[in-house]
Amino acid sequence: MGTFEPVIVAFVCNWCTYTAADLAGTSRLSYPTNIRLIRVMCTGMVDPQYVIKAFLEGADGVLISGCHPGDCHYINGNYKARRRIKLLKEILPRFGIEKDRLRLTWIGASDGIEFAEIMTRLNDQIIEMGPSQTRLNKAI
Amino acid sequence: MAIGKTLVAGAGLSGIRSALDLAETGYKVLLIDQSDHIGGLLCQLDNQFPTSKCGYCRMLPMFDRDQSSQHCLRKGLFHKNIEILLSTQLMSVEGEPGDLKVTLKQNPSLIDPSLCTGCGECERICPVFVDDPFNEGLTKRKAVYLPSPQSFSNTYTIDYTACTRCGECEKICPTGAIKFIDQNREKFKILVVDDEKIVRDSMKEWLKEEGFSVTAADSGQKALELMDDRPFNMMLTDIKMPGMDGVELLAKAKEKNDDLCVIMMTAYAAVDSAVEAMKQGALDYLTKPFDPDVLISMTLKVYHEFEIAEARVEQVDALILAGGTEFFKPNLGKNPYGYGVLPGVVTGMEFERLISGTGPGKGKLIHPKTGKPVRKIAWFQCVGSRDVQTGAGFCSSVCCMISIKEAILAKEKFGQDLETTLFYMDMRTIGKSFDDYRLKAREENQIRFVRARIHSLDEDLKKDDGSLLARYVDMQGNIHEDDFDLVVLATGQRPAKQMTELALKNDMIINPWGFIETTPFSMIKTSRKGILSGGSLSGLKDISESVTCASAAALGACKIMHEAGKKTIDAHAIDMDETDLNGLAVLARENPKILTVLCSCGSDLTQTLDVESLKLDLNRIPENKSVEIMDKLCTDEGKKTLVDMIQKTNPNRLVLGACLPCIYKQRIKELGKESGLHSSLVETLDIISILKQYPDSQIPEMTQRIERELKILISKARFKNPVPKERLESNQNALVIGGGIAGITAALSIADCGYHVDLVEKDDTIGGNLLWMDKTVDGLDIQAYLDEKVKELEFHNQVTIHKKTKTESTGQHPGEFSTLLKKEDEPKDPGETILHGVTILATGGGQAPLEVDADDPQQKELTQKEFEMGVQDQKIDPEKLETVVMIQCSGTRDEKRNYCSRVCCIRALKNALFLKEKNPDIQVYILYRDMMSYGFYEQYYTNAKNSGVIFFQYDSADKPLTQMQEDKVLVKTRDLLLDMPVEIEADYVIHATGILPDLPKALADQYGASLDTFHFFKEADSKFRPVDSMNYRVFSCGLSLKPCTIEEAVVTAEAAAIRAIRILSHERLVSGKIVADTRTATCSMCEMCVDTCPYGARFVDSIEERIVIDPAACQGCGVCAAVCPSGSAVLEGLDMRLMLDSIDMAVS
Amino acid sequence: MMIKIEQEDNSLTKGLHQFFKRLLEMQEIDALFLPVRLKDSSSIMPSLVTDPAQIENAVPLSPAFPLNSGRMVSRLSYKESGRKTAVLLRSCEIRAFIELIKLKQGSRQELILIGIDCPKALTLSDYTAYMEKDPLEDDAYIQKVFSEKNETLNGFNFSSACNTCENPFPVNTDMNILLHGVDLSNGMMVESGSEAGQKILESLNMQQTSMPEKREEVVTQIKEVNSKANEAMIEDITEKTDSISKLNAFFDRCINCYNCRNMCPVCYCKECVFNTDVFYHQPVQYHQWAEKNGLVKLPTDTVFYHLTRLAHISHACVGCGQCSNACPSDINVFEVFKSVAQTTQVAFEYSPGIDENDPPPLSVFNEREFEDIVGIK
Repeated sequence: MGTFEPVIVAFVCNWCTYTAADLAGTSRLSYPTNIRLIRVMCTGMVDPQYVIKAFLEGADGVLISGCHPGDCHYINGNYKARRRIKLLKEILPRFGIEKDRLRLTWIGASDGIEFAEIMTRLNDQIIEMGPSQTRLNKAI
Repeated sequence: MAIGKTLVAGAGLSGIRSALDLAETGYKVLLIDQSDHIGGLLCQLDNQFPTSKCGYCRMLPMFDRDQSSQHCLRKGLFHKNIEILLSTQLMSVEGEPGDLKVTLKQNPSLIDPSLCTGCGECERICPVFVDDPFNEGLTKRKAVYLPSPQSFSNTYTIDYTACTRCGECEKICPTGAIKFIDQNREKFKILVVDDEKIVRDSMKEWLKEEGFSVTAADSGQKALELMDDRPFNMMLTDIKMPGMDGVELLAKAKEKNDDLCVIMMTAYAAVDSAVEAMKQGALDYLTKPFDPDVLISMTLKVYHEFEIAEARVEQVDALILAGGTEFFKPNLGKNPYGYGVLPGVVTGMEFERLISGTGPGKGKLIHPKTGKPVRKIAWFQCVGSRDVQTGAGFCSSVCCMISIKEAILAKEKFGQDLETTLFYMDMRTIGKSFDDYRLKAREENQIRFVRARIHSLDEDLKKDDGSLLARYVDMQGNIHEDDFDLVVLATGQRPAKQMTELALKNDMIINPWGFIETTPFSMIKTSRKGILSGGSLSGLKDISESVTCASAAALGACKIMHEAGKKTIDAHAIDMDETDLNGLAVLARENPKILTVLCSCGSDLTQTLDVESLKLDLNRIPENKSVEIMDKLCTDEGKKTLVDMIQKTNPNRLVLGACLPCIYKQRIKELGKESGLHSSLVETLDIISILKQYPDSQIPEMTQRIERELKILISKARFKNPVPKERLESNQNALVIGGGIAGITAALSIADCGYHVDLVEKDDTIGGNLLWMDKTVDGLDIQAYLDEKVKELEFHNQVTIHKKTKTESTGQHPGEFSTLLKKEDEPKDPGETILHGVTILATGGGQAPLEVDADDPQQKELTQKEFEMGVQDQKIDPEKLETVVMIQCSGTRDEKRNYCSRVCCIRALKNALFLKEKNPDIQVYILYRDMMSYGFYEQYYTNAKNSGVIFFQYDSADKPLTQMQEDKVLVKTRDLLLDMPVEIEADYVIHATGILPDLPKALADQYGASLDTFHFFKEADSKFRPVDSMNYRVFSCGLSLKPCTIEEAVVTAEAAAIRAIRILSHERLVSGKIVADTRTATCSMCEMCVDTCPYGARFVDSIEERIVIDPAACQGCGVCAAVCPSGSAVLEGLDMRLMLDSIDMAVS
Repeated sequence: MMIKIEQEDNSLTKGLHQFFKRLLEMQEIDALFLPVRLKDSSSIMPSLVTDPAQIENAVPLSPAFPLNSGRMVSRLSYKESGRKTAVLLRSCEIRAFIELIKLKQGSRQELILIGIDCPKALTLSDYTAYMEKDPLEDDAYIQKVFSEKNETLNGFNFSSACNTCENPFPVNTDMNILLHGVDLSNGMMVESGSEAGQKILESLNMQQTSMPEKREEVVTQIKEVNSKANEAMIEDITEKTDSISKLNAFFDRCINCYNCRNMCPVCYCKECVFNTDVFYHQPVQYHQWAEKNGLVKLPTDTVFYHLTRLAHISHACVGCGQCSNACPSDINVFEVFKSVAQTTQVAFEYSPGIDENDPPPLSVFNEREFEDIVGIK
């Protein structure tokens, strides 16, 4: 068996984390290519349904990443997102989707290096956790 | 009628603000900057005080958003109405307001931005290393480089002066984007004059090899003859020649052609004469024997000047100068802190780069010299500020806050155990929440504040680890020693040299320190009509003040354009101009037909991708009609192939994978125009950057990745709803509440630009606080100014004044307010309802009442206002007084009102100087905590000290006490220098009680605005939207916004006015493509979406019983959609179907 | 204030009828809303009563719980009617209604909320069977439940929602009818819970009394018993559904009828998002799913639906159990919900239906909270 390449879906906000991802790209920093970025306007628009959907489709990890507290382009969308992620972190583990498969980070526009580092760490940690149950048991 | 156009010189923070305000209003803007990137200083700073956050992007336009950038401003800026020219200088200005002729010079671009893919090959091969100014010289970069690490266009630039023209980059560039304009070198005529043949011949050979035209002459006489024959661009002449020598030749040649560049050649022994020749107009000299490389590089430098494109002359209506400031260079002069000599002494800007994620430490704080981790840092304030020795009799105003921020940031980023000390004279926390910030720094972050002057700074020889030993004297005169790893110099600011020169060349008045002088009571009007000053050009400002000033400058330009009869472009019209609304509506009903095109970018994609499997997979998606590979879409030929393909296959959506320049928004718009496919129906992917991430061997992985990314885009394309949003009808009248100077200015400013204003004042007189004021500290006559303004207002045909009136109630609707006005004290008045599109809250404020014991029947303890009025009424005669004590921060900057009121120290200085002038024998004591004589007000502090006013600092924990003693007041305080109690018997004690705002919460609520902790108006963003509320139609200015001087009140009013005019100038407003909507059929009206919207863009329409949206207020964040469980609140353009489908594609 | 309601003809129910009649005859009250045995049928349904004569058919004490009336009261009150209505509700109905008020689906403005110590309920199917078998008279039922503490009713267990209910005693009402810890042979008690309630009780001029000593002890005891049952239930259901494959198996009979959400009193949406065109997939979509996994079960989006519902309203779940009642496939939706609700409510320190002014957790935030869930170390 080859090494496990996890499927990680990352919802990144248009203003901060997406810019950091761009910066990581232009700075030629390497980060795991199996992380699938989905650009959203704000982490505050990440409906719990999007996270659930990603897991049920077989994602091994889901990341939501936006601006640092206070930096949100829309003032407080990231705080609202944090509550929603907290909620999901309470619900999903109950059904075998471990807490640490769902992550939330703040990565600012100039944190290109941090972006690459966090993506690498996330990938490593998900690899260590192994494939998610939903990968084997699709539950749509 | 022509459309108005303004030139904004300087594309930093303030230039961008001015440009965007004008562009949003509907005027054209030419935005230039002499540097290679936009964004100015702020691109180098990641965080700003007092929030320690960034909010640069919050400056972007709020309605009609799709006409401009919708991403982090560090990535760059575009706007439909703004033309940006970088590496461009403003050379001169001629003409009158409304008809200015400006001359611009732009560095030629050696790299074609439309061809550069940002691949970086040129940078890799470039042999030249120079200090990287973006990192303040802390790192090196190549001569070909990316201007800023985050720039969106990602195109390289060549540093003209550093480049040796080796041509390696030109050879390696895969797209042929780099072209040295070598044919031009032939046009560059060089004359070599030397009596030695061997010198002439070898020089001729060297220079010809570089492609220049060279002619040689063996004597001065011969040279002059040749010059009569044809013009030369450059002359290299020996000094010592028989007959006419070089110096004489120089003089004669210059007579013939003053523009001729002359380089002298001389033996080392005769350098003196060369230096002499330079005084007579030679550009430089070479010492014989010289290295050909030196000759070539010197020639190239001269050639560079020649190569600069022909000056461009533009016709504009107004000019805004926004060139910003420079920083004091601490190694000039005495350099007491060993900057550049001692290791670990850095400037504030260098420190910002050191701690930045894009800086040399890549997010880690390491010592710039030793590379060791840093554990102990000191900040030295006032380096090159408040220091007459360095020519700075002024305070740079912002350094105190910047240093606090840097210390907090350092701790937050690198651990709270980092030791941080700030050495300062006065902590000038002069903004609204700044005192709080200092408190947080001290209490929460444990930053040490030491009030002391640094005596000396040396390397600590005992330690021998590069640490620095600072000796300083505390308040009591005791000497201390302390070690630091790093010392940060809070360097003061200086005027931008180029702007000062420009001002002088164009007959504008500058102040003694080289900053542009503005007219009385104005912070934007220069002495030359039609030229406005934005940002910190006219004095030192922090971000919010710069932004305010920049907006005010935009207002100035707006007024000029309106008076010159120039038009604006309606937002509605812009959009109409390129959108066939009916066509889009028809399209919305069609099934999606998607064409996917990949550009192979000059290479063979089949070598890197499994194209067949990619096609097979993508074609399984029913809406994707075909996948095509094309080449060089960036070329005209390539584009034509694509346009032909679109016209042949007639898709209604396009997914395009290409390199970055190819998918730049403007290009897609062009493509849309040519092919008939609307640009909003094109989805793009930068495949080149993705391809670069994989080694050649990983074809399957790469194919999978590209496929996945394309699938996400295909799903976006298929769910895209092309129906354009409704236009929002927007009321074009303004309501200004408050008739003080801020309200008057705001009303006049809006009216002068052609919009009707209702001004409501609760009193029966207009004028507010200015009614009781006499003169400013600068000696300006306040009453004369007020009279003039009130007259202007009363006679203005666009202004209706409602005196003794209140705003009874307000209805808010998309695009409009309706306010019921009622007369004060007339309960029976049925009132009058006015409709207006914007509201400006200028309700003012006043001096806080004095909180002393009531046992002062003789009124010896007064507020500043009471004292000044006493003098005006001749109740107080300065000549009869012996002693006056002024107590600053009386009841302010403490638990109750923890903010600095900014104006009281200046007022105290004014009153002290007045008393001293009237009665030189009088004793004036000022008891203070920190003298807040910011900016150029510092001079009055100096004057007061010089004229014998005595200053005692007191501690906030040990406040001065007063006590009546017969007809005198006994003031008890503590002299901190002598550490002894002091008692002063005063005729009068004048308390600086600070400013209280007068903005009732109910009123703010009426208009969807909110108040801060101190009951001032709460800004949408204290830095970047300093006069706006979260409701995009409501603004504030003057004392209800923040404590401010008269000219500061005026500038905030002007800023509020242009922010309002931005909206008033449009009959109908257009939303962005990504915008919220409501599906009324499924909506349960729980109003969660209404409560969660940060912009107040959602309203309950209680008559129709549904949720309505102000599409112009909505910024498309989608929080409403996430909070709505039934999916009735939707985010058009990124709705749930699209998102779920994208997730599906992403996981597959 | 506390008053006493005497038995009438040796009947508690009739005693209550007298009380309700007096209420309805009051000037201030235009209508009563309470469970009524319908004419010509044995069905007990919540009804809006304006004719005092109809009160005779009211059945305030029965194991019938056809639906959570909280959502019915929201229908009665989401807009002004110009009428004052007194509504009799069980604790879980009141809590559901309070949640709906927060979501602007109802208002207390024109209501007098009357709570009653919960008389427990049978599941819907058990209730039908019980009624066919040999139902007890209302009073006998009450004696059985409240005095004998008999956990079963003619061989039928009370619904698991009732047995695990930790809040069977209404709070935040205008008045409460107390049954537990009260000597029922001596009548019942009504305690006022608000100023409005007190005013009404005062004007009724009925005999005042005071809180029986035993009450607190009994209340605590019931709560303890239910709490223990709850713990056991949660442990059991968690074990049954603690992995994705178990969850799949648990819900595999779900036919997407959405009855559970239709009967859920806090699922307040007019139309569920799963019923909108977002989930009206293209035919090819099913094929793509099938191709991806070799098979796709239809209807799709079942587990997705249940997880989403948990994310949407588990924090507001009042534990009434109506979702399980409503399921035609006999899926024990309630137990899964309650087990998750427990966690989410603790996480946000949220007690649904207790305080109208306590905002739903997802409508607010604090700048400094849950910082531990941020970041990847």
